[in-house]
Amino acid sequence: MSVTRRILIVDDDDAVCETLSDVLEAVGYHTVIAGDGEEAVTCIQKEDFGLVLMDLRMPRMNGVQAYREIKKRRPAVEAIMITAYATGDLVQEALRAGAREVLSKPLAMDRLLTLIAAVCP
Amino acid sequence: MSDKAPAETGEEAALGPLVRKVGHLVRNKLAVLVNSTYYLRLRLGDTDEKVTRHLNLMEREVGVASAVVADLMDFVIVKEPARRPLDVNQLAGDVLSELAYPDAIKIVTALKPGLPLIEADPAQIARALEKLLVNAVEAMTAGGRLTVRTGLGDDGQMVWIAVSDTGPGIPVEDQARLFDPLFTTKPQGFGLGLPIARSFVERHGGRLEVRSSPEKGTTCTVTLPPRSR
Repeated sequence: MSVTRRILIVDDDDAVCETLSDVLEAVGYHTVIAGDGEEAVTCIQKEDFGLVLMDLRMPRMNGVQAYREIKKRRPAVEAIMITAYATGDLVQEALRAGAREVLSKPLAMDRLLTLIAAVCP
Repeated sequence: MSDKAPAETGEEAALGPLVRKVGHLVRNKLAVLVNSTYYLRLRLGDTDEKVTRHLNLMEREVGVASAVVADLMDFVIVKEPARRPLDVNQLAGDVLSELAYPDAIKIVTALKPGLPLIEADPAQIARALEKLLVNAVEAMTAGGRLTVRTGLGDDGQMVWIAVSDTGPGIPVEDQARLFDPLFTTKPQGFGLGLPIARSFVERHGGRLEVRSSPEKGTTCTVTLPPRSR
């Protein structure tokens, strides 16, 4: 499968990861799950992805910090951030770090899939 | 309860951490339900009428629960505006494009071109506008006309956005309580829409005014200062 259709899902809530993965696999993407930012960076070192779909607020390393580390290793990887609650500052920081979009949970799934299709053609 | 949001009265210090934590948790759980429902719809399609009905019910109820949590968090938690230059006409168009409304309602816009940019948090002003638009739609149960206008104040400085409906208007006895938290006349209402809208607008140095005439409808006007040069 082409790298652009490979998505790394990063969230410290297992059920969020599992259900997102099931939806994305059902519509034709290949997904890998990481439980936090550090694990995401480790995954990226092993294999390439077109997109990281990542929670903004996670223990140890937040989504913005993790994405900066990921970009150092794989500059072409795109990111869409998801969050159950984020301050405006953190959202702006994510966008400045290069995230395509910051989406609120619960996600509007049609919108997410449209966005992913644009980012991962 | 004060007619101001806890975010404005200092009560946020006591309530904020609790609401933030509970809201974060509940939104994650609702996210799982939304994802699962979407997955089931993908797998099951519309082959079984009863299944489709249950999926629709799940989506609707999760949507209501999400809206209540969002209102509670917006009402209690102080979120400093993340300001950037903003075109109110663009914002009004964006929010309108996301608005759900029945066929019996006609949308009319009169957006004044060339308005000065404002310096505002797009998410907060969009949320305030969304609240006014949803109120307007819900006021016109028998259909009607929803008008969104923008313009420049008489001083040539302040930018305004007005949302008008042709609903039955707000009873005179209710008008003084419009901004009271939890005051609502809707069976499913939570009564935080206008307080939240006003809180967001005032955080930007603006104001929100509501004018209503029985049988003629209601106009809500948001006035915001222009971007400082």
